[in-house]
Amino acid sequence: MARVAITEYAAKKLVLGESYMGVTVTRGTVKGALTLFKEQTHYIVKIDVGIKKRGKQGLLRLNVEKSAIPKVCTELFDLGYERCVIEEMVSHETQDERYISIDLQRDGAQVLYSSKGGVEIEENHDVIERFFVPRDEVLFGMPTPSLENVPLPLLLQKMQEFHMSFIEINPFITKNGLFTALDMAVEIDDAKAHKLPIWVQEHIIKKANSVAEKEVQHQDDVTSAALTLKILNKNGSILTLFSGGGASLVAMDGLVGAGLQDQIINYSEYSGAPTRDETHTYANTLLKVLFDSDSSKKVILIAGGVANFTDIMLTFAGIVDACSEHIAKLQEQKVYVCIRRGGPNQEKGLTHLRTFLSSHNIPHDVHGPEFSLGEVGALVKVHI
Amino acid sequence: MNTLSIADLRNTTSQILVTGNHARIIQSILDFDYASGKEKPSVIGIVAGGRKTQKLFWGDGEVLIPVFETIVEVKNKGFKPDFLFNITSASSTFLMVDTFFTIFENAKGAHIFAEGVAERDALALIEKYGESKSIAGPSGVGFCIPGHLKLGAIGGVLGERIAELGSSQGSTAVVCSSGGMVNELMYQIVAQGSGISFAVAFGGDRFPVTSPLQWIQLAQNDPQTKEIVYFGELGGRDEYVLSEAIKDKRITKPVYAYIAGRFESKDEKIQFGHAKALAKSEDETAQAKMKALREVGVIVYETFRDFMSSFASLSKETTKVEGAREWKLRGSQIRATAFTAPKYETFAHANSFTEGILMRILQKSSVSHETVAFTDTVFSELIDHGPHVSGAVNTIITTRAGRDMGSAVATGILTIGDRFGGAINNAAKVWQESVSRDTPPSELVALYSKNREYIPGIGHKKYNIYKSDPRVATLIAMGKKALNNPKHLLFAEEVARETSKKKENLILNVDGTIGALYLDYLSEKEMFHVEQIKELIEIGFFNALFIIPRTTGFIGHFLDQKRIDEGLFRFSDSDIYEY
Repeated sequence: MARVAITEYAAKKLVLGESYMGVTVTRGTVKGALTLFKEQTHYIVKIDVGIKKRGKQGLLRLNVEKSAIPKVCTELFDLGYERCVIEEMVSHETQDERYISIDLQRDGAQVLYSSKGGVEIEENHDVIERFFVPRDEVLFGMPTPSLENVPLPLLLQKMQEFHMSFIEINPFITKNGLFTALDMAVEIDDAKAHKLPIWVQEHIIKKANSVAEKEVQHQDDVTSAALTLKILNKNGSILTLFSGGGASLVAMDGLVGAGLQDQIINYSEYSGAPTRDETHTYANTLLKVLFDSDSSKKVILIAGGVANFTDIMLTFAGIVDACSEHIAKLQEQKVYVCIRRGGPNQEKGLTHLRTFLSSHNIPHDVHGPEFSLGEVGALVKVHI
Repeated sequence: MNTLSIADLRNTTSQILVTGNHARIIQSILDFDYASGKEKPSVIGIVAGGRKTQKLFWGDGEVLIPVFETIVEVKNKGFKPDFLFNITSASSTFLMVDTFFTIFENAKGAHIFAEGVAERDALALIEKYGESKSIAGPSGVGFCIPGHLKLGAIGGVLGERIAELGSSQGSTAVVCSSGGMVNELMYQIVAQGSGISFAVAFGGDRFPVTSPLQWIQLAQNDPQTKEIVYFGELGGRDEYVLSEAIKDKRITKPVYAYIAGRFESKDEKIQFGHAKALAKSEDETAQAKMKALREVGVIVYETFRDFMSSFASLSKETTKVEGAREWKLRGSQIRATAFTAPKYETFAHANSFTEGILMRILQKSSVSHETVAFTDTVFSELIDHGPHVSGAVNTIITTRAGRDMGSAVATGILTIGDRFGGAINNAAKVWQESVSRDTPPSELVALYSKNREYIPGIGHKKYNIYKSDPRVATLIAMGKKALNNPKHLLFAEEVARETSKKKENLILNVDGTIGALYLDYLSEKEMFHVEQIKELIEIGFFNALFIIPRTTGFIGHFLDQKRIDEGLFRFSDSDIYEY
């Protein structure tokens, strides 16, 4: 993975430090946190799970008094979210809202600034100022240019310290010379997530929403290989099981090109030579996703390039292991299996899969690398 | 700005250093080298732990590739690699690559295999080496100039394909984000009758060290390259940089492109497999980038199928690599030998027992008569030193327990180590290091005295400055007569002069003497150079000079006890308890 978002609370706590007075709560901790709030003060309560444009979606509550906090939180949690952040209301005029974002890029940090911040930022594209902090200054902490009312050097330094790749503060206001971030979104470099303070770990936004995605997320956490699952349309017809970052995109393109965009259940990619057992567990989770789809037509597409080291026999044996636990379901739902794959031990692997599918009367089309990866769309289309 | 020239690389023999070990990929590089007709592997060494050599195939035979502990060691041994192939983990990548280019300033490039190198590590590499070196990755499979250089797993690890890549070249450059897809493209191009001028997987991470445009620039500058095949993905802005360069006529050779990642979701931005594969804004989508490339004349294919079939119209100019071997890759039935050993016959014709021993343990077919004579004296002096010492005691007790010669002598040998009989090697190490670094003897003494440690080769339980060890005197006299410049001995004597001032028994002992003189004999009479001597120290050679003769002594003690045979040995209470 690449960049991962963290909660608004974690973003502000890391960047602003002790001066940030927000409180993060989950269903279990609201009661205990009540002593932190004052009477006769108004609070804003926001869902804090990395969702943007919360105002428009009704995921925040304004002007909440201390006594109402538990009830408001329960209401928000009941919408199906796990975490809220509670802050004191800051009264201000919409016209004072400003926007800033800093994005780590190849040549340095790209800074976008707008004097018209807030929810309408996208409508005010033309007033956005754009400039670059050169790469050497970003990396080696030399003096950075100043931007009126924005503690730019501090932001850059915190980005460095906490491995942040992207930070967006929208809006912020400056009141009596004091910089106040009303909302903040931060993405950290996943490669360094383990270097962050322990408490931040549970503030990293997991993209997994469904049970199956969470299962795969867990499987991925405990292996040196890479396993991913993204559900696109749970009632689609095509279950994908791709390998390789580039090949998986080409295979997806093949399906899109064949007009099957809306039929794709998921995007899945495995690489880095998973073991037979790991592939078995992973394929098992994916098969359950397929069986749960309402679609009357079902196809599994197993596709990838010519692997460099991933042993085709081992990974296919894992896939067969998973299928052998669901033979009745595969037959009953009339699942069609399409394959295009090559690499070490490809003959053995393809034969193993072909033999298994034949002996259980599961219809299939098994191809090696002589079949073009660009044709997988056509391969699947005839069965939809 | 980029100093690399593909054309130059075709005319030079490149040398690769590998950091981290992945035998299968390294083997694929050797197979490529062999097929292309090279005299020896381009991989000059591997930096990894736990061994000194890695055995691999060279054609149908075998070859041992040196394994080093550190990159510094590679330089110290006189190697000058041109390229680094880094297979270590993402977290140690920056340090490895930075160390390599710091030590080998003139090296040309690298391939970083690991995926998920931290963004700031990649940016720091770009900052330091982005303009002066060509670095493929992070992630991907490296780059390849058919017939000349294979840096990484590019082209795969499977037999015939590598043989083909090693022996045949063409005029199409392949520049690709993905490690898997670069192989697909290369072999499709070859399958349709064209050839590769060079190919690279620049990597799917967000910040490839050498950018796609920089690679395309290399293709532009390479006279052999006629056309460029480009495979990109959604995410990032590389294609805009490329289209600018085409617009400015910095790139004029035809570019055929495919931009993968057409799936778009209305609801959210999807992160695909590679770290960069996410369209954060509208202009980072595959469609937007395709449009930008088309506007400057790049032929961008709508489907991957059309992209692949377009290869049929690429230039068909292919040439056999000069000197390439007609080689069918060895069958899988050929297995590497279980271990490697020199042939016994090489050491089988000696004039004397001592000479034979030296030829065998020094791995030499001849040894000077001075070294033989000195060794003979060493052996004579060390055969036995009475029944008091630990090895003799063990042998005697085991013999009296009724065991055979092999067992009894073995128990004696097992006591040889740092405390008993095993100091020659340690002493040799101290003398060698001090002399080669020009350490003043007084400084060495001060260092050991500060650490409260004994200097190996100094001190004796029985002898002192008033009562000298006759064996030491004999050896020193012999050495000084035979050698022109016994610098290690002189150094050791100087050290002993200092230490004996502190305490009367801190004299140069027999281990220290043999260690010092042997270093002198090896360098002066056997022409061993420093690295060879350091290796002998590292593998513990010098203790053989004690173990060989003393084994004879233990045999003597065994035979003594067998002759006398007092029955099973047992201590009496008074030997163990005070009361």
